[in-house]
Amino acid sequence: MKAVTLVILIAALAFDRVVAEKLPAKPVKTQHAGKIAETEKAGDDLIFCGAKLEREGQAESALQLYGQAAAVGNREGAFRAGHLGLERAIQAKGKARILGLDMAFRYLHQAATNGHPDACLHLAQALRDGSEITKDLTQAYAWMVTAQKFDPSIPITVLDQFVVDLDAAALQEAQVISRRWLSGNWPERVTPRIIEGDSRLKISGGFRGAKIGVLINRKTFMLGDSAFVTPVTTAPKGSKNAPAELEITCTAIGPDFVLISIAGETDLRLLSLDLD
Amino acid sequence: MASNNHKVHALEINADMIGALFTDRVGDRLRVFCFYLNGDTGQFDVPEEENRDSLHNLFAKLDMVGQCTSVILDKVVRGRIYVERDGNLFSYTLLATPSDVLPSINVEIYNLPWKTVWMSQEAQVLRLVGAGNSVHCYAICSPVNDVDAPALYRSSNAFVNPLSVPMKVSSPNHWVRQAVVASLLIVCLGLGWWLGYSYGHGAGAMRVSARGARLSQINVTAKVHMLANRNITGPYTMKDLGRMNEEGKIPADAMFRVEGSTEWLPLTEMPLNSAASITEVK
Repeated sequence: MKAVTLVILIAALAFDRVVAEKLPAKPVKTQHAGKIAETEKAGDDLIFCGAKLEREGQAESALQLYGQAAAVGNREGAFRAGHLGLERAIQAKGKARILGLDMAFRYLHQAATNGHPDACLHLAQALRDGSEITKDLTQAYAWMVTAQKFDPSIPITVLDQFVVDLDAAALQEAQVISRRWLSGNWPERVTPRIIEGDSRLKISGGFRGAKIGVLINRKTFMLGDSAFVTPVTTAPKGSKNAPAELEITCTAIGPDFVLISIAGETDLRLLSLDLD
Repeated sequence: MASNNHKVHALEINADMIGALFTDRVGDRLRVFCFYLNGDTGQFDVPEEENRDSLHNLFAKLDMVGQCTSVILDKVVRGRIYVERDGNLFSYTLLATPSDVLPSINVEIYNLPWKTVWMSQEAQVLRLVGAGNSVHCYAICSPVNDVDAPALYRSSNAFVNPLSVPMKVSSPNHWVRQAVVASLLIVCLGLGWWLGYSYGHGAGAMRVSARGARLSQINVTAKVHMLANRNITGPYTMKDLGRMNEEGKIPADAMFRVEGSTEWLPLTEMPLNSAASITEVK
């Protein structure tokens, strides 16, 4: 009986094939995929000159050339600008360090999201260390997986150093994040954008004691303090158009800067401070 | 006659009006195909050297720089279907054209009388003309790498292994063919079920699941590493893993990685039962 069933099944499939062949040919011709992504060659000369300047110790000039290469879409230029910028930012202090780190991570993000494995590794390491940016072990591993996809020669043992930081839920989330990135849905940035100054906020003084304090819009803030402040405005007091209060948090204070986050806004505000 | 004296010197495209953009380099020329939000299209060839900056600018506006040379914006995508044909996998992206002849998204989509209006190494732009030349719609046919397909389905949240995608009727032959094939298959299935039932294997014969298909992608002879309690151990065979599982030695949140892969999977994704059945046969 099984043999009979088999024969009937084969007959049915054969009939299907015969009838299908009599139907009009499918009109669409097919071709195998070529790689969609293509390497940007523009800016290679700038990188060559930048590398020469870097070897000669002219880091500032080299950084400018790498930045120019990055501006024309060269991912190696972006990586070098990020790498060199990070080295310099780590050595800097205060406001220069904050702005330097912001610039360096923007370049590394540009390189990483354009398929540069070393840039992905740098981001992974920074997110794991948490010394320059907010620690995030899930995203760190997601960048490691992404780096390995871009460069399969990265040993699995390197990934393992990161994966042991995670529990099962975080690991699965990291893998999902990496797949999402690799399908083209890259994160907008790895760190919040830092904008210098904010016309709504005004520092009217600062003091240095056991801690540094600062007076913003007539309220005193220490590191980590959050409070509602009335934005600086030219509108008359009690006017119907008076702006709503802002809930601000003092996320970092240095001798020459205050870094503010505002509830409901993704960008951080860097305000200048002069305690001397 | 006057048109013979006219020559287009330059062409501007508003990136905000673009729904899909395809570019291809052929020798020293750039071939460009635009699908606009209103369903209109345009294509042209330009010398690459003197138009590189303009193309880069257009890529930048569409957030494509360094990532790709073609893009289909989500807002013009009506849906996408992945169809295996002649052993190769293709995706058909149906573009949301403002017309009334949008075909169904089903497996028959490649049998429709599409006309190829533009082609590059990575994609074919297809046009389907309905009643009257002004009524039409577009689709993009692209080959998909078999290896990347599972990740692609996951990342795009596609519904996988649909059991009944409605078929589109395209001709009387089609009806006849489907009816005959369906009848024969029903007879075969009935006979198969009856035979299986007679021999006492009815329930086993019905056990077909999507998960089973996924598990089959992992080789039962493969070795795996286990990540548990922030420690990686192994490699283990599937048989070892099955035994450890029976003995309750595997933590609930353990993850597993098949040798040669980078992806960690939960225990439920491991083909433990298949490994056990192989052992029994031996």
